[in-house]
Amino acid sequence: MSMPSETSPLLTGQARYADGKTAGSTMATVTLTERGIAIDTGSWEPLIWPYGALETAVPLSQSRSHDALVTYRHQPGATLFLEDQQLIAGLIRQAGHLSTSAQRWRWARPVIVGVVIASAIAGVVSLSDLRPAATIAGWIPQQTRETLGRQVVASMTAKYKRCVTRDGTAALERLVDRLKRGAAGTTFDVRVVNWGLVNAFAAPGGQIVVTRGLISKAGGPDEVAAVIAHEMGHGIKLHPESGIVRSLGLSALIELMMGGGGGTLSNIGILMAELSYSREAEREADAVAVDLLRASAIPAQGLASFFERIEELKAERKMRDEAAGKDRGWGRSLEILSTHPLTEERIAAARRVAPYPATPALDESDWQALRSICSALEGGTAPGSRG
Amino acid sequence: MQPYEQTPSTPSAVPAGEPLKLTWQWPRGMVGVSIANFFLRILTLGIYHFWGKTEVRRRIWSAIRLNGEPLTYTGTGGELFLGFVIVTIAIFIPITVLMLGVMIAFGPDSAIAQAIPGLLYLPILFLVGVAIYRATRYRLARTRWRGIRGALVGHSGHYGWTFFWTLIVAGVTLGWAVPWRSTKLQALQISNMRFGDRPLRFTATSGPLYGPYAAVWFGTVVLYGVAAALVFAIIGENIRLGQATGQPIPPSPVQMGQIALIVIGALMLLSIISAWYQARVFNHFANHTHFESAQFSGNASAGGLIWIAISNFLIALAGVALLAVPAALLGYSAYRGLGAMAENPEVMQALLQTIPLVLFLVLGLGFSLFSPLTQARRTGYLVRHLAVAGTAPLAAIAQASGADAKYGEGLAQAFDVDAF
Repeated sequence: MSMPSETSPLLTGQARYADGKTAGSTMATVTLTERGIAIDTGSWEPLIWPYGALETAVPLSQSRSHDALVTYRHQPGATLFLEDQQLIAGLIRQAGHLSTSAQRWRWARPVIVGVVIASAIAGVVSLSDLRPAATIAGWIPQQTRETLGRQVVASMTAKYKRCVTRDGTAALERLVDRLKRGAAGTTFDVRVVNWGLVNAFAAPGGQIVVTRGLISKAGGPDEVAAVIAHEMGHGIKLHPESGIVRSLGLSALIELMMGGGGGTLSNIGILMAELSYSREAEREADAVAVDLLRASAIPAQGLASFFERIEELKAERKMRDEAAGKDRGWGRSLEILSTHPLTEERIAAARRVAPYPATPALDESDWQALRSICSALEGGTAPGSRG
Repeated sequence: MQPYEQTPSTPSAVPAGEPLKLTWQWPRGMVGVSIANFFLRILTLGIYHFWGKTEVRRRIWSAIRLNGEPLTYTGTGGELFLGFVIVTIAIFIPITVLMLGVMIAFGPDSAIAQAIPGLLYLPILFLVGVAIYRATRYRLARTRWRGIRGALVGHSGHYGWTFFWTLIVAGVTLGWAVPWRSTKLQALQISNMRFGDRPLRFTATSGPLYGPYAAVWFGTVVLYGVAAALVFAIIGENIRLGQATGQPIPPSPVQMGQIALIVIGALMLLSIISAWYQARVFNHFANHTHFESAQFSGNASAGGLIWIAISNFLIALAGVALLAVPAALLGYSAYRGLGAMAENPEVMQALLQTIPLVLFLVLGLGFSLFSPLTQARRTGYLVRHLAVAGTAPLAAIAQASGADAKYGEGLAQAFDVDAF
């Protein structure tokens, strides 16, 4: 062989060459030339494998590689097994792309770039007002929303019966009809359940649940009307549906993080726990509530006064908890404060609503009927359970 | 002229058989790979997982030496990722949609919604068999030695079906079909394996496994019986008194401790028995696996398998501990950083709500942190206790024709039946 070499003497050594056609192999004389590895099996012209097209079974490292299995991209199957330390060191100098860090970076780079692009898109989507979860939620047909909502309501209130005195139900219906004046074309199914907890929540498809605890704590019909209007606001803005879509996406992401465990995605229980809202969603629901109250000529002051009542309740609870040395937070995940975060800003906004001509949400007899709606329960023994 | 078209200069009529030697050369840098993969996984929200796995495999394959030269793994992270996506689209999304649909239509407590997981169980068992076969096929197709590929011929559906019905037989026979079943499944795999254009041969029968298996079977029964008798001896008095007075009497802390000791002791004895049986199976199968004029032999031991299992578990725990410390410090400094804001119950509650997620991440990521190392240790043990004696005419073994399997081992990925 005649290789022109003006510079330093070329590195030469022995290595085992296999052509990849059979599992046999031969010893070859290997030279690290400027163009690439020259492999001389003594039979034909030496092969030249250019450095740039070389690959190794594992990344090469100066200190750790005691041998190296080299392959050449344009001669699939052929292998060159180097055990000569000097040759390996020389190869690392000539073909830097075979090093551990270079190889790992080559793999990680597209993945990282992909994730960065995806994050950037997610950032743009959340900063601009695109709201993919709400958009997807909007695609769910009304009928599916209602069935989904019924399941959510059924599973959240499984232990609590529906309150159904005839007069109370009629009063509630009158209140809901009045509130719907400001929201043409919507359907709502509002029910009271016999639950001591102070809360109200909206499930998909316009299903709204108000607890007995909330009605008994409320200072009057205007406050109950404000709460229902607020929950209607969540419903109109599709917040419950969006929450479910979002948590589906989130659990899919967690699954990917864990390398695909499977199972959590199908857990509808997780979805049902996702009924707490962001501050943004609360602000929106408040705004809709004020519009609905104004359209049905119910005083909007009920919203602010209900908020104040909740603040008092919170202070009371805190004092009691501290006196009893109890743990706060756990076990009260369904309290109204945890599902509907209350902020100073919301209270201030509710107080700022200018007064307009209005009449009480319910007259005195209807209000009393609503307050005692839980004296008959669905499926219960009380007479006249359905009107 | 294509320079690589040349042939060896000594074309002998019948290539002589060359002796074979299987060795293990500990792969270096597995701790480094563990740490790099961990950070890259976090950085890429988990997607790097498939590329990380590929790097680990390349190193482990390369540690297995035949006549001093390494096996090479030629699979890519992209292939594994594609397999994962395919399985997600073809299996998980339909199952999820079906379950959600049924729950929405009939309610989560309806009989049909309750029955669906049970109904899905049978086809999933079949799919597990299919997944095992496909994973093996993918790995063999991506394994080369001196450039010659491995292969697994045969149909994964056939294997999946055999896997499925023999499992039912094993259940019906109270486990007595297990040795027969594992031999049958092993035969289906090994005799369909190829190196280049040459098959492996598997000649084992299940007969010799029945002695050890009987010991395992009766040992397990006796162990359960003894454990149950001991537990009854401890709390029998409580039950008698409870029945007499009509008031259930809960076990005392001392009794609970005693019961826990019995359960732990029984589990330890069980795992020793089962490791002993596994070693016997491994050696029996190895001793009846042939390639050309060479024969494999196994000398794994119960002690060795148990040691690998325990030490690997401790290494995994070390991963959890390693993550738990920074996670706890981060949590504490976040709490301190919030200062007076942490007094606000809403903020406090939000913090508390993140705890389960953080725990989940620390446990999940921690346990898998050093998995490259533990996988290498386990594979290394098996390879070091697998020998091959005899010869094979290497120069006559040619590359088999046939296209490479196109996508990865998605099903195996999804069903976690990954042997490595």
